[in-house]
Amino acid sequence: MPGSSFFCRAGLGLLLAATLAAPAMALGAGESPILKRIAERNAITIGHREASAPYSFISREQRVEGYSIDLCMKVVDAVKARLEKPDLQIKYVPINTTNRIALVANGTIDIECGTTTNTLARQEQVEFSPIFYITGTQVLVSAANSAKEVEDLKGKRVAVLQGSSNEQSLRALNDSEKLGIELVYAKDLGEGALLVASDRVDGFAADGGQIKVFAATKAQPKGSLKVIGRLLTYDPYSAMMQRGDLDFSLLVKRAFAETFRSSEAEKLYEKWFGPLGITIEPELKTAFVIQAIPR
Amino acid sequence: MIYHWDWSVPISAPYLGWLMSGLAWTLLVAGAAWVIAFVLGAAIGILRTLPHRGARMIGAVYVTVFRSVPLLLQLFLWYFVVPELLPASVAHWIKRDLPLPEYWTSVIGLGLFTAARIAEQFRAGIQAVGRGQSMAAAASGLTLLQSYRYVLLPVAARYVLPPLTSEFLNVVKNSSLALTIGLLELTGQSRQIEGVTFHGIEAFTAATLIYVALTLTAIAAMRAIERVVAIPGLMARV
Amino acid sequence: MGGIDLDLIAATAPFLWDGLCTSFQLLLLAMAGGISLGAILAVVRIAGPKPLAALAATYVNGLRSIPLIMVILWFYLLMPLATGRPIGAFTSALVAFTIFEAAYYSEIIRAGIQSVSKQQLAAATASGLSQLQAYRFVVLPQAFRKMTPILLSQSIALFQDTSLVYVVGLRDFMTAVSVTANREGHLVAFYLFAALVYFVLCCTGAQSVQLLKKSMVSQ
Repeated sequence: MPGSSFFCRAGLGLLLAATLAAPAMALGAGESPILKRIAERNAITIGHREASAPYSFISREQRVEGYSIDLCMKVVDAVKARLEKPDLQIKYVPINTTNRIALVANGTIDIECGTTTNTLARQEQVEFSPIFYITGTQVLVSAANSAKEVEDLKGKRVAVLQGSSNEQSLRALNDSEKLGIELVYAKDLGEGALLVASDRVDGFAADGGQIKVFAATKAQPKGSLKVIGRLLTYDPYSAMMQRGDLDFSLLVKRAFAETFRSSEAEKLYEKWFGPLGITIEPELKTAFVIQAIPR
Repeated sequence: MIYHWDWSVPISAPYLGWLMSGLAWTLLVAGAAWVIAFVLGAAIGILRTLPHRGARMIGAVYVTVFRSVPLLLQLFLWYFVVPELLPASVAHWIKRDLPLPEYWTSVIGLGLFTAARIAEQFRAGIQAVGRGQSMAAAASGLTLLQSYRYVLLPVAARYVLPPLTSEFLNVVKNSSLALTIGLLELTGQSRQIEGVTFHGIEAFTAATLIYVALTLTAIAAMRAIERVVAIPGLMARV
Repeated sequence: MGGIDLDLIAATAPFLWDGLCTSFQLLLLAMAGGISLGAILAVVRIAGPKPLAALAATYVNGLRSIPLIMVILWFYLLMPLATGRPIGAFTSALVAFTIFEAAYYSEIIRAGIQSVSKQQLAAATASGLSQLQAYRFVVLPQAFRKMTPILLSQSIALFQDTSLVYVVGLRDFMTAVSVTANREGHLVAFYLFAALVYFVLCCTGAQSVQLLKKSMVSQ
C-alpha cells in the first residue's frame, strides 16, 4: 500500500533524525538527567529564598541575590562550560522551608541556593553540595528580655520556621527537658522576626547567623532585638539538588572545590557579610580549606 | 526520580495522631466560625430587609466590605494589622494573654467573612417569602418584630437550609487557610508530615479523603434536617 | 510600623504591579479554561451517556468537597513526584485553578442550560441538527446569555482565590505584597494597601455585574 510505505519512510526518517539530533541535543550532558534537562530547556532553575538576606533574597531592585546565590553562580558557570551554552538562561523559583525539599526532589528546581542545613535524614531525599556556611540554632528575643538561654523561655511562646532543622531541635529539647514551650509557625525569617518585634512571641528560634544579621540590620528601632543562647544544633549549609545524579553532583563538587581553593568563597563571604560588620569564623575558613579537594 | 510509596505513613504513629489533631483543629475552627457566621449573618441578612434605610445601609456596607477582600488577606489583617492599630494594652492582651491567638484569629476572620455570605442567603430567603406574606402579617396586626418572628423567618429559614449546607462546607474548606497564620489544621498537618517523612502523596491523599468524608457527612446531616423541618405542601422535596 | 514614605512606594511599585499582572493573567486564563471545561462537564452531565454523566458528577462533587489550597499544593508539590515531570509554579497553579473552578462553573452552567426550555432542544433537533450541534448552536448560547452575570460573579470570587497561590510562592499581587511587607518591615501599611486594592477592584467588578444584570432585565 502506498499509504503504509509513506508512513514507513516518514517514520524511518523521523527515527534517523532523532538519532542524529539526540547526541547533538545532549551535547556534554553525558548520562546526567539534570544536565540533559537543563540542555533541553536551555535554562537552569535555581531555587531561592525571598527574605533570607544576605544569603538568598529578593532585593528592592527585584533581583535575586546573596552569598548562597553567588556561590551557585559558580555552578551555573560550570554548567555553561560543560554544555557549551554560554547564553544559558537562569530561572528563579522562590522556595520556603516547607516546600524546598519537595521541589528539589520533584525536579522543579535544578539547584537550591538558600540556607538549607545539610542533614543525613535529608540526604535520603536529596543530594547536597559541599558545606559553604556553618551556624547553629539560637534564639532571637527583644533586647529587654532577660533570658540567657532557651531554657529561660520555659512555658513561653517561641516561633520557628515550619519544617526547619531549628523546629526539629526545639521540639526534641521541649520533649526531653519538659520545657512546655509553645511553638508558633512562621513562614520566613522576616515574618519570624516580626513576630518577636510585634511582641506576639517571646523568641524566634532560627539559625544564629541569620538572626544575628537580622538583629544588626533590620531591627526597628536599632538595637531592639538580640540573639541569645548557646548553639543548640550544628547547622552546616549546603546547596540541594536531585538525588541519584552522580555526574551533576560531581560537577557541583568541582565548582565548589575550585571556589574554595581560589579563595573566591572567602571573598564572597567578605562581600556579603563584611558590610554587616561580620568577619569569617575560623571554623568556616578551615572548612573551606578542607573541602578544597585537589583536582 | 522514583517515588517510594509507603501507604503505612498516614496510618502509623505518630503521623496518624498528627492527622487526627489536624482534623480536630479543622472542626474546632469551622465549628466556632460557623456559630459567629450564622448568628451575625442572620442578623445582617435581616437588617438588609428591614423597612429602615439606615439599617439596610449598614447591612449592605458590611456585606460589600467583607465580600470584596480575599479571605487570606482578611486573616492577615486580623493577625498582623488589627492588633497594631489598637491601644497598646488591648493589643498586648490579644497577642499575649489571649490563649491560642492563631486559633481565635482564624475563627474571627473566617466567621466574619462567612457572615457576609450567609447574610446574602438570609436576605434572599426572606425576600423569597414574598411581599404578600409580610403585608398580610402587617395587615393582621402583627408588629414588625412579630411578623419576622412568626411569619417571615420560619419560612425563610427553610428556604435557606440548602444554601446554608454549602456555606457550611465552605467554612470547613476555608478553615484550611488558617495554616497561613500558623495553625496546623488538617492541610497544615499533612504538609508537616510531608516535611518530616517526605511521603507527601500519602499524607495528602489521607487528608483529601478526610475532607471528602466530612463533606458527605455534612450533606447527609443537612438532608436529614431538611426532611424533619419541611413544611408539608410548601417545599415538596423527595 | 505605621508610616510609609514615598520613596518606598516608588521603589516597590513595579514589583507590586508585576504581581497584579500575574494575578490578572491567572484570572483570565483560569476563567477561559474553567468555563470551557465547566461547559463540557455540564453538557456531559445533562446529555451524556449514563456512565460518563456519573463520572462528570463525581468529578464536580469531589472537587467541591476539598479545599482549594489542597488542590494547589497537590499540583505543585505532589503531581511532579508521581509523574516525574516537574511543572512550574504558574502552570501548576493555572492547572489547579482550571480544574477546581471548572467544578463551580459547571454547576452554574448546568443550571443555565436547565433554564433553557426543553422545546428549544426539541425544535433544534427536529430541524435536523445533531444533539451536539443543538447544544453548540441553540442551547448553550442562550444559556450563556442568561448566566453571564453569575459566571462573572464567580470570576470575581476566582480573582480573590488567586491570592491563595501565596502558599506555593507564585508571585501574584498578594505574594508580592507579603514579600515586600516582610522585607521592609511595614506589615500594617502594605496589608492595608493590598486590602484597598482588592476592595476597589472587586467592588468595581461587582457593580459592573449589577449594571449588566439590570441592563439585561430591561432589554
